[in-house]
Formats: sequence, C-alpha cells, structure tokens
Amino acid sequence: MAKKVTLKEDFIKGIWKENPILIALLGLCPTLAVTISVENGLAMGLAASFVLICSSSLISLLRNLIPKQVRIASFIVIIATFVTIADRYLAAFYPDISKNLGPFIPLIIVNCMILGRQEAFASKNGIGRSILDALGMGIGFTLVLVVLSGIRELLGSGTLLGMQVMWPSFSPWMVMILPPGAFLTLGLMIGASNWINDRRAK
Amino acid sequence: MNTSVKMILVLTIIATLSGGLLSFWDAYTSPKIEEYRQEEIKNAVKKVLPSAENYREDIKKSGSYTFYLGYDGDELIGIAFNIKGGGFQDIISLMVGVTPDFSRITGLSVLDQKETPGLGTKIADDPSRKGDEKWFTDQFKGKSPFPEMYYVKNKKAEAETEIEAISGATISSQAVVNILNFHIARAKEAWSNPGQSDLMQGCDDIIPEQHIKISEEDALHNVLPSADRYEKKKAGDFEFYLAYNEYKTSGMAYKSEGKGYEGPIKLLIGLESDFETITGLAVLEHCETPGFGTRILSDPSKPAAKDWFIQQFAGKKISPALTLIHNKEAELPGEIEAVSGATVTSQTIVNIINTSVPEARTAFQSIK
Repeated sequence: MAKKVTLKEDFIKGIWKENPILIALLGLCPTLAVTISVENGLAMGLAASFVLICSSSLISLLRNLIPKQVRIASFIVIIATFVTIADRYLAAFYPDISKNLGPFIPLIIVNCMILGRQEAFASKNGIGRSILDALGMGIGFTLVLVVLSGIRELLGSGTLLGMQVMWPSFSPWMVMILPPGAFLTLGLMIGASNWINDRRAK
Repeated sequence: MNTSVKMILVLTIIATLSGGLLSFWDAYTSPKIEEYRQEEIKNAVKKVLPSAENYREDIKKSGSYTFYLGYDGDELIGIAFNIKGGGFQDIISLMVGVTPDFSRITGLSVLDQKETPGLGTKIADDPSRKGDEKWFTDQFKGKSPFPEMYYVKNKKAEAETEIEAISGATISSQAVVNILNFHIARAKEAWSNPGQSDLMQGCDDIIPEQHIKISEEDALHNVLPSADRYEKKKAGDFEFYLAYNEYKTSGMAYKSEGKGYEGPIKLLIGLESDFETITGLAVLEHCETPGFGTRILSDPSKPAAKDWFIQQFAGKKISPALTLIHNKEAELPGEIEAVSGATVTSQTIVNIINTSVPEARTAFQSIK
C-alpha cells in the first residue's frame, strides 16, 4: 500500500520534484554546452539517460558485492563502459550528431547526475526501484535539455529541429546560441520552476 | 573473506568484464566508423574536384600529404589533399582541390571545425544566406593561391587572390586563408619533388652568402631559459627536446620550418608543457633578404634591442593562434608585432608557429 505510492514517487520525483537540473543543479556542463539545437539536446539527453539506466540497474544488482571502499571506482568503471558504448554507437550510426556533441559524450562519465544517482539511490535500492528512479531522472534530464535547447534554437537560429518556424524577416538572436544564451535561459528556467514551487507551497 | 582481497577481486572482475565488452563493441563499430570517414573524404574529394570523372588515391611520399587524383579519361585534371591548421577555437580540417599545376583552386570543403557556433561556423555553413550557405568556401573556386591569398572585409572580393571575409568571423576566415597559403605552397613542393624535403631547396642552393645558421645548443638555451638538462625524443615528424629542471619537466622545444621570402626558415620553438605559452623562439637557419628580412634578428630602427621581434614571442599565448599586427604595439597575449620592411618574413614565422603547434601537440601526446 504505502510501497505502491513510493514506487510511483521513485519514478515521478526525477521529473519535477527532484529534477536533476532544475532542482539539484547537477550535470550543468553538458546542459549549458550542447543545447544549441533540439537535435543536440535530445541526443545528449537520451545518451545520458541510456548510461544512467544501464549503470543504475547493474550497480543495484551488484550493490551487495561491491565493497564500500572501492564503490566509487567500481561505479566509474561501469559508467565509463556504458558511456564508451554510447559514444561509439553514435560515432558509427549517427556521425553528424557525434561530431556536434564532440567531447561532451565522453564527458558523461563525470556527469554528477549519474554518479550521484548511483551513490544516493542505486547502491541502496533494489533493481526495480533503481530502474524506475533512473528512468524518472533520465526523463527529467532529457525534458529540461529539450526545452532549453528548443528555446535557444528558436530564438538563436529561428528554427526547430532544423526546420524554419520563425517568420522570414526574423533576425536570429546570436547571443542565444553562444554561452551567455545558455546561462540566461537556464537561469530563467530555474527561476520559473522555483516560482511555481513557491506558489504551490502557499 | 579478507576485505583487501575482496576489493582487488571485485575491481579486477569489473574491469575485465568492462574491457571485454568494450573490445567486442569496438570490433563491431570500428569498421562502420572507418567506413564513414572514408565516405566523408570521398565526398569531399568529389566536391573539390567537380569536373573529374574518376578518382584514384595516390600517396605521394613527401611531408605528410595524401594526394587524391582526379582524372577526366586519362588526363589528370585535379589534385585534392587534406590540410589542417589552427582556427579560432580548435583545428580546422579542410579538403582542397587544385589544378595539376597548383595555379588555381578548384574547390574547398570544410571537413571538420569547432569554431564559435553561429559565427565561426559560417566558414562551413552560413544559414543567413539562404540557398547559398556555402558561399565562403565556394568563393575559393577559381582563386589563385600564388603568390598569396589575403582576405578583404566588408566588400566583394575582386582580385584572383582576394577572399571575402565573413563579418563577425574574421579570425576564422583568416585562419582558412592562412592554412591554404601555408599548405598549398608546401604541397606543391611535395608534389613536384616527391621524396625530397617538402621545402623548395636549402638556403645553400639559393643564396649561399646570405645563409645564416646558429648552433642548436645556443638556441636551446635561449628558448628554454629555465632548464638545465635536455632530452631528445622523436614523435611522428617531430623531434622534441624535453627540458628538465631538477628532474622535473619544465617545457619542451621542437624544430619546425616554413618557406620565408627567399628560402626556408628553420625555427626552434620553446613551449611550456601545456603547448600554449611560448618560452622562447630562436631562428636556427634562414636566408632572408639582407637589410629587410634580416630585421627579424637585427632591426636597425631599434638599436637598443635589435632582436626585439624574436624576443617578443617569449610569454605569448598560442591559444587559439597568434595574430600578426602591423604598425602598432602588440598588447594582447596572442598578438605579435610585425617588423616593418619584413612583413612576409614576420608572417612566415607566425604561420610556422600557428600551424606546427597543433601538429606537435598531437605528436607529443603519443610519447606521453
């Protein structure tokens, strides 16, 4: 009874209540760097989610076997393995995306969101709940990346997923696809989510 | 079980499984990645040699150029090759096609670049010019790379050696022009003298009386002032002198050369281990015009510091690239003041550094 609610909560919390970017402010480096187009944001979100789900399930299976002194080292090796798989997969099958994301795919290894979930959740919970947790966090991460890159692509290039959506005379805001645009947009998004949470709390 | 044993066992098992999985995955994806790379090169060659009917890959042994030959029937009508050089943020890789006598560019294509999104990326793709997104590289078609191409700003390029720069991306535009100027001249030599040095001739063959040479030992002390011991190491095309200072490395130096106004200029470039800060520069060999090009080493207009041009390099930062400025003092860490009367020689030295540092860095990774 209580457990059923928790299962749902395990999944749902990553999307809003404990969103890795908006609330926990984890994994901001790829968030800020690659979100110049929806395609990039989506690819980064999916790659990170893939790594998160695979590592979370494997680590939760192995959680009782790994001595706690070497847990971080073990987590990193496992995460790095899945990151390399994702990186080589993109390079082989989606070379253009792989080129756009450059070093940020290999850098998922040090994404705090992924290591953080292993340490905080997967190493302490069973596989089912760990997968739910990873799914929720992955969806939350991907959603924020897609919204952020959508705003930046729309205003910075006048397109969405490469298709022209703004009127022809629209002059793109160059700043939006440069690093300041990432900081501005993310700052406003975090501000908005805090405002909504404050209003809800009242 | 003893905890230490368990720790070793668990980590070993995880690492072994991970290694096994990755080697399997690598065997699966590598051919596809390589295939894509070949395909990309093939497409680029086709693009830069538009009138050729069949293509043949031929590796000319000289320098590091791979020449892709384009034929129309049996007649050689174009040569394409891949060149690289420093851009604003990272290395720009280009495929360029030229006529067999290297007198005209037949096409240019950007293979790889990591310039500023929306600005420098316009060298490859400019979304603000609908239907003509590749105008920047397309304009090189028909241009003449000799004696030298240069860019013009805010106006249409007219002369055969003029290139219109992208507004907002002058440094990237200039980088492309510089890479082409530097490499087309070298590639031409490599093409016509396979097996020889990729420079035209040694100084001795051209102008023996102007030939100036200093010993490597003296030069090493100048470019790595803080070191007291050197170790020679070869990596790729480069020979590095690793500098040690009480058993820890304090930088390295390597030799590089380029074609100056009259003949080859050989430099010894001293760098800190980060490959960004220059510790010193020495000219090992040159035969520039007496009274003009020689001003890089002794400038009569500044009797107090005749070798100010070479001295100014110490402490400069190469990230992303050095820029030559004229008729005013260099202020920024990436700026180099040209010697008036020896502009070509000054530019050559800056070009040699800009082009060789990224290559040297890559070569150096392999011995580290």
